[in-house]
Amino acid sequence: MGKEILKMENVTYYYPAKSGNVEILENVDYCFETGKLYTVMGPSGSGKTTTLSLLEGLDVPKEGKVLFEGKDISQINGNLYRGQHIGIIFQSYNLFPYLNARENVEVSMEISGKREKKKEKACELLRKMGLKEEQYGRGIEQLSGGEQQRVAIARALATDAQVILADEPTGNLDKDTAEEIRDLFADIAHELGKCVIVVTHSQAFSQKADVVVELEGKRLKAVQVRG
Amino acid sequence: MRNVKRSLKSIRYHWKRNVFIMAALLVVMVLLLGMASLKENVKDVVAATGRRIGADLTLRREGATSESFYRRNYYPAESVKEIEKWGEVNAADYISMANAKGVDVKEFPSHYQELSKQSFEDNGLDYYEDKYEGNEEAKAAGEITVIGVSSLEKAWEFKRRGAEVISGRGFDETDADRAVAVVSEMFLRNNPVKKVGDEITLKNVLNPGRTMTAEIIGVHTEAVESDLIAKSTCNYIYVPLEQCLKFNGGDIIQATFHTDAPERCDELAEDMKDLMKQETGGEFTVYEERMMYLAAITPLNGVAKTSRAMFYTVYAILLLILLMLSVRFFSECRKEIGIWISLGEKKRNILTQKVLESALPVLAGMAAGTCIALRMEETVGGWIAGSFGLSGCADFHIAAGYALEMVILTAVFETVVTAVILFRMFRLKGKELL
Repeated sequence: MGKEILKMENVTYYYPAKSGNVEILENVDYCFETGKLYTVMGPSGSGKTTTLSLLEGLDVPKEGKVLFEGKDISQINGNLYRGQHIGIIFQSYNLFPYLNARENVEVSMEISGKREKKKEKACELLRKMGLKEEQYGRGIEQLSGGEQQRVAIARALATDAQVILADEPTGNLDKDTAEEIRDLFADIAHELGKCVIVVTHSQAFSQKADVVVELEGKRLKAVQVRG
Repeated sequence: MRNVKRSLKSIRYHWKRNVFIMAALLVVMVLLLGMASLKENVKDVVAATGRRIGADLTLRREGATSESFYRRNYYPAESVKEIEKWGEVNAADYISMANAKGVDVKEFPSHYQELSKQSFEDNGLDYYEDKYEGNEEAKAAGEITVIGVSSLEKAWEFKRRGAEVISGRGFDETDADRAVAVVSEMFLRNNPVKKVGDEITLKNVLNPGRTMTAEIIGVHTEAVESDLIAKSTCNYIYVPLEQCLKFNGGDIIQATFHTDAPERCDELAEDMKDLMKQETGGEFTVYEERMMYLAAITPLNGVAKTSRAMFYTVYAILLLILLMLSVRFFSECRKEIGIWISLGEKKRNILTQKVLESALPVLAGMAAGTCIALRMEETVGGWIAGSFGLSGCADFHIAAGYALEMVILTAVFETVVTAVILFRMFRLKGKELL
């Protein structure tokens, strides 16, 4: 049993439209724990990415709150929260093309203030993610999609954040690479004890997940729990 | 420091765009500096022209003319001594008497006087009767103008080489107590019995008992072959100042001050009038003669004004282009800023990085443009001197001071634009940027 780390408490989110507010989430209560891989599933437009944005602190709920280790994240400095406590992985990797693989990983360490031996740590993380040494100094555009996503995962892990949030991390990858990345996410949750929350359409990802959460009727609902 | 490194890496990564910006700024900077420098150099040429041509400020009692015959129009030479010490005044001539009568010499009527007489007669007027209001002495007066200067070289016409001694010699302060004179070539030609070494005698018509006898020690060419009364110098006789004042008991009818700062004529004229009122209690008029200067500088000022207008237009266009480039640049890196925010980077650091990224290529281009412009000094100077006949531009110099001003102004502009765009972006939610 992991510890509760991230909690959505009575969260409501809507966006204004001409015809009135369009409600996306309504009184959502859900708690995420460490050491587990969560997949958040649901049809397009159901509010998966919005949920992720709220958890990332890149958007704020209209009602309710998101708690990190029991603290309302709106009360925590946004930069501190995103820089030290969570790691974000995007579908399109979102790496900086003017920095090489190692420097992209170092960036998050610099931001979080964990700069000690950053070069060695970055190389270690890249090695763990399966990149070869000669690739560390390569420009991002010289890496394949799968390799870029591994760099992005290494960047998310570099600050030793307890929560990893990912938005369709295998959406742009081929079948085999996607499988490797899914395994990597499972390992991060189980071996490193992180809380990994992945927004995805992929059933294959859900098969790896400890908890499959579905967005149904504007609420989060665990539909499958393993172990 | 890490922001600087990131900025440099980003600049290197986007090298094509940045090289284009640098090249464009380089060309614009050369153009801008060229125009600014042209303006500045023309200003120098105007100043040099002013110094070369100079201007005359002639001081007379209000209502008096240079050939005025009335005693009331004379004033003590002592009262204008202070003016001669002014920094802007580099020579002074004193006319002690414009109507001296030759005793043993005949004066040569100027072409102007002939024309004037003719004009009077054409209108049925008696030249002498009307001009001198029946004053018999005036009618009998001569046309010889006695000019006193301490040294002939200090007389403006000689100083600027408009006139020169062609026979005999001039005089200087050491001749102060000697009754010597330098006369014009034409004057001597009309008095064939006189030559260098002979004496001439002049009569003061206001005080017939007073005469001046001076030895002709030199002959000078006339400044300008002109019909203008001001330049009808054929009857001018230069004598040492002391002799000149002695001839008329220390009084003068007119003092002419020569300045090499014609652009300050109005100011000097006002100061002169104030001083003279203080010294004599009377009202004075100052006649400025700087027509040649104004005629010479008008086209130059046109060049300066055109360069200035072009400079500001090009600079305004440059700023507009920079604004557009900045807007485009930041719309391109909007997502990148969203990523930085999602990674928890401080807005201050993002701002610093982006300001450097957008400003460094601009400033590098401007610096390179300045260096190239400075290296082109001689070429541009030669071209301008050759094309426009501005000899002063042969020493063309690039107004490097403008480069610094433009670089600072552009850097400030670029920083402000970047800051405004970024602060507008920072107001958006992180999600909206990604």
